[in-house]
Amino acid sequence: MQHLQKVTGDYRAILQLNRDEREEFLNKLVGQALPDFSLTKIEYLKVFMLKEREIYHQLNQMDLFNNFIQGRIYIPDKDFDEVRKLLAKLERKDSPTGQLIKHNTKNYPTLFQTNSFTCSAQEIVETYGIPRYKEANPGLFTCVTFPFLFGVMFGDIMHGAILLAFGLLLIFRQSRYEKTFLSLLIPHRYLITMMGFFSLYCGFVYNDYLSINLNLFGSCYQPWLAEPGKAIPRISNDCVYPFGVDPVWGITSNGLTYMNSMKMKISVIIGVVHMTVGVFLKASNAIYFRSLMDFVFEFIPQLAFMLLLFGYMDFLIIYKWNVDWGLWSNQAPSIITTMINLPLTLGKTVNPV
Amino acid sequence: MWGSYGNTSQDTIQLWFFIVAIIAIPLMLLPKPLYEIYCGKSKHHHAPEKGQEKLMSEDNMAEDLARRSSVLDVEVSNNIVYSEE
Repeated sequence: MQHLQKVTGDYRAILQLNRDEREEFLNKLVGQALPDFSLTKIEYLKVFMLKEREIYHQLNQMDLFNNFIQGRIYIPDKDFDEVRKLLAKLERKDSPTGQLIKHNTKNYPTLFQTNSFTCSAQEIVETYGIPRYKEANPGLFTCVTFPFLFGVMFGDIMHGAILLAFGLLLIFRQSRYEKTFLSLLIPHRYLITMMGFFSLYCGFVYNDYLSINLNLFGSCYQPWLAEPGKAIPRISNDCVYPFGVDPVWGITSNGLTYMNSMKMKISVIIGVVHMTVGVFLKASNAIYFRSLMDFVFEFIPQLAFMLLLFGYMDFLIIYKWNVDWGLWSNQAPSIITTMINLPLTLGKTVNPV
Repeated sequence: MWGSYGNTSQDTIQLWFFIVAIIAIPLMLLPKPLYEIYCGKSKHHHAPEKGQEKLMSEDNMAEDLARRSSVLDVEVSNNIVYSEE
């Protein structure tokens, strides 16, 4: 019995020793920061490993020759001298020397210089596709067309003003939000501001303030003289509401139908214009690369298809807006029906424009 | 706009617009791929050149790493000694 107690006591002492050693070892790793760094040893080792792995990864992409290593990199022309200087600075007595040799190839990667304003638009474009080297960059157009199209969809004075205020807050109080969750939005602050601005603008065009029509400039109609079931009388025949939609539409029974039709038509016209601009960008690429194939069998059929179907639809929309259908309103052509009849009846119209 | 009501040239114009638009579809789909297939203008990327040796294999990577870590005086080895009395 005594012998057994002695044995267990020994084992306990060994285990305790083991525990202490382990604690001391781990303490050395994670307990205190290294004297020269603000890192603990384990963090330091992790960073060290990451760096090593990256170095090996880069080295593995290079070619090994007898007494030198060759790697190929792309440097923008304007940064070439800077890289050369940096390389010279890295040279020491005992380290291998580096040399930069200019070499022209055919396949360059695309590089777009962006700034804090254009980078968000460029990012949006690159989710769809990155232009090849020396192709036209649609990102430049997107800087304006994206927020504008957003505004066309969002269009409301109050909502637009809130978004605009938020964007301006991000711009002018940038440093205050850098450490909050809003820091994710800071790279896109200019885009948000533009989106807010165009929403505000389109809100005024639609005359929509939280879905209420504002009578800012004085309506041209006299709803107090209206008889039920009849058109609301106008003040005078040449009276036009100065900017946007006349607020009288807010109290009419066909106001929603009118607003939907107007917004849809405006969106279609803007959309077709944007797409046509895109097709023309393709033409500029074809001309730049002197590719007759791309020009004749890509640009021209695409443009023809676009303009003959959807350009024609835009024409019909604008033409229909310009006709006073007052007395013939039951004969006014429906644009959608006309477009559907185009393939179904091969162009036979029920109600011609 | 085009002619009087019931006797309009809009139908003819629309028919031609539609025909040209339909013709445009095969024009943008077919000639380019056919040209690239039969005229042998291959746009394939260059395959990586042969004979490129890997600079570092797994083995000498571990060795090199051990050497470099010893230079940096990073203790990785376990120095706990068990003492059993």
